[in-house]
Amino acid sequence: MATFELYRRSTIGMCLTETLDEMVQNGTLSPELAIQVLVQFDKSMTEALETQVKSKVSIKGHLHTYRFCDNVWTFILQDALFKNEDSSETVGRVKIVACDSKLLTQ
Amino acid sequence: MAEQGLEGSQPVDLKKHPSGIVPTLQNIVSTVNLDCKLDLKAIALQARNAEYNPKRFAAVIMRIREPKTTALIFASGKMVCTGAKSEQQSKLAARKYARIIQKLGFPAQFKDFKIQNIVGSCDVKFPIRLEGLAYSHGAFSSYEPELFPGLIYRMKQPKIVLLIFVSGKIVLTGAKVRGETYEAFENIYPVLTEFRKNQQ
Amino acid sequence: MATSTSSVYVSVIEDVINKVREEFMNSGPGEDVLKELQGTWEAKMMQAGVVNAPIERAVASKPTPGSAITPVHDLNVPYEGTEEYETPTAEILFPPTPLQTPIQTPLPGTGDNLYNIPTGGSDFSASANESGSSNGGSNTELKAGRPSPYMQPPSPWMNHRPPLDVNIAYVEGRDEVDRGTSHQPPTQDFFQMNSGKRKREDLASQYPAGGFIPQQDGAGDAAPEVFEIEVSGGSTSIGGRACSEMVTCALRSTPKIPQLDGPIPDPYDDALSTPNIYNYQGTFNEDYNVANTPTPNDLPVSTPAPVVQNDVGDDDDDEPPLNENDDDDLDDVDQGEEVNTHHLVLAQFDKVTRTKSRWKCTLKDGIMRINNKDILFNKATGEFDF
Repeated sequence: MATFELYRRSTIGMCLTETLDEMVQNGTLSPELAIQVLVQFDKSMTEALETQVKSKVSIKGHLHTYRFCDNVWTFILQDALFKNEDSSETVGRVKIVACDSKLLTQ
Repeated sequence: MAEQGLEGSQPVDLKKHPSGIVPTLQNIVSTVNLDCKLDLKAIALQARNAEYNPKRFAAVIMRIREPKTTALIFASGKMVCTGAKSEQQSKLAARKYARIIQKLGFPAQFKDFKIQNIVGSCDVKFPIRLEGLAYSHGAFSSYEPELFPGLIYRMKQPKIVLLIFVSGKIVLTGAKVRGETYEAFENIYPVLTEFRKNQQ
Repeated sequence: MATSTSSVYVSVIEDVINKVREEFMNSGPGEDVLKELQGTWEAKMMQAGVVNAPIERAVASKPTPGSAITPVHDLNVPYEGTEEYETPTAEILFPPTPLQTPIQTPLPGTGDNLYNIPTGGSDFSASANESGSSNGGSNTELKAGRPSPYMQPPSPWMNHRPPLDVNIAYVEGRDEVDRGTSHQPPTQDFFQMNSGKRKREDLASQYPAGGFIPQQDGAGDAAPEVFEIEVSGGSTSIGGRACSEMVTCALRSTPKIPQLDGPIPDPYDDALSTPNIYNYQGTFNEDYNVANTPTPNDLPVSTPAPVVQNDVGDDDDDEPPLNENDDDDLDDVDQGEEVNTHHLVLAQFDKVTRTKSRWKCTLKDGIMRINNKDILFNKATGEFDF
């Protein structure tokens, strides 16, 4: 199963990375195993998003900067408005990083 | 270049534009040679507003907002700049792109800048009988409404292609200098009045 | 915070832990370390406020009895951090010397990049091995290393990547570039590229690509060729339909000619737009009238006056060398500032399109960190103005 390492930057991914980092640093865990855990996280997170999450969101804003390289789109929005079923949030500046979904289904 | 940007706000020079109509420049295409090999991926990763998808197109596509333009940047160092509304703006934009590349660490120069095409347009504000025009100017005209609703008029002198629509809107393309655009329009204008639609 | 986010996270943690358990058992550290991992991870999640305490566990994932560490301490007690999970056994605090690592590795903490572990590649690339490349090129591309602008690898032991030379990663594309441009004007590339798959939407807006062919051998004879290209493109579909497509196209684009006296849909509009070289299903138009660009007052309108020609190699050109007057305040190189990422959306894209300055995208399977909340989504639509 192909996965993205993208989600490692999320809160849950960062918490895991930090944890693994500490455990590697203090010798509890080998780096190899730590990486295996991360790869498993990539898979588990992707799967969970596919199967457990149903909500829809709309995003509007001024596109400050964009980039497309290596099949990754990066958008930096200004004054963005996020809406989903039960709430809406505005932020002055937000970064969106998106991988090509087709790469997982190929 | 002197009168650039003045269309519509200044009295039309009737010696130059006897029709009283000055075509508006809509798109300038220019090329320049930065004269150095470029690492497109490095550019795409560092410059803002860049797209690079080598599987689809072997150039970085970059945009700037002022002048609002798009550049295609090739690994050879050649660059195409599109979208500017005047020759000056096209050059300014091209220089800005070149400067961006330079600031990324490439020894970019600015060689052989050339305006490759000028697209202009205008509206004579009366409808035109395209069939009649096509018929009497058969050698220059191509009008196949089932394929494309406009009449394509290939003028020989200056060598400009005009798209003439029944609405009276005209597109002129193929000019290297804006004078050709103006001249072509002045050439066609009497023809258009000749084939003016009478009803409505 | 949405409870659902919390429960999804909890299930992800459990899933990960369950699926690496075997490896932990087989390759050394064992259940205790696994539990420490889970406990610390969960604790950090609670601290971050993205997992609700107490964690409701599926019965199945009960810790194996007899373990020295209780991985789940009383979750009703405010959590103190990671220490709790690190204290329990002396073994963890003072691990038996260089560890039970299967491979010889230097001691941790003696420097960066010590662990020579081939990982997938850049943080966003598909993981190693299985990227299902459609051709030889895409594989390397997927794994191509990425310099910092996107993100820093979060920890040093993840830092070591197979050294990747971007120049190598793109050999394939590079060849194309060279083929396309070395003997021909760059405009050539345009058409090669366009001749492949063409969306009907492109037809009208490509029309003025007349701009490009003429460049090769003079103004006049080129545009006709363009027209023929268009015609044949259109005629592959039903004639009338091609027409209506163009009109539809025109309808979508806002009138941008000063002389326009009415919103008559007209392929004329599209004929004016910049050729659509490379789009994501949008019509390519340059609209100078859009007012969303803040224009700096000091915008140089004219080409900078020639400065002293101190630039060697600026021979046959009367151009002033590029200088700071050519800098673009708005659209310049990223200066490393790269925005705080307090608000971050991580997702996959299905589609990204652009029409003039209007961008639209559809995303899926996203994790958002917005205003200190984690929100997950299955689908998202984006509409951005550039």
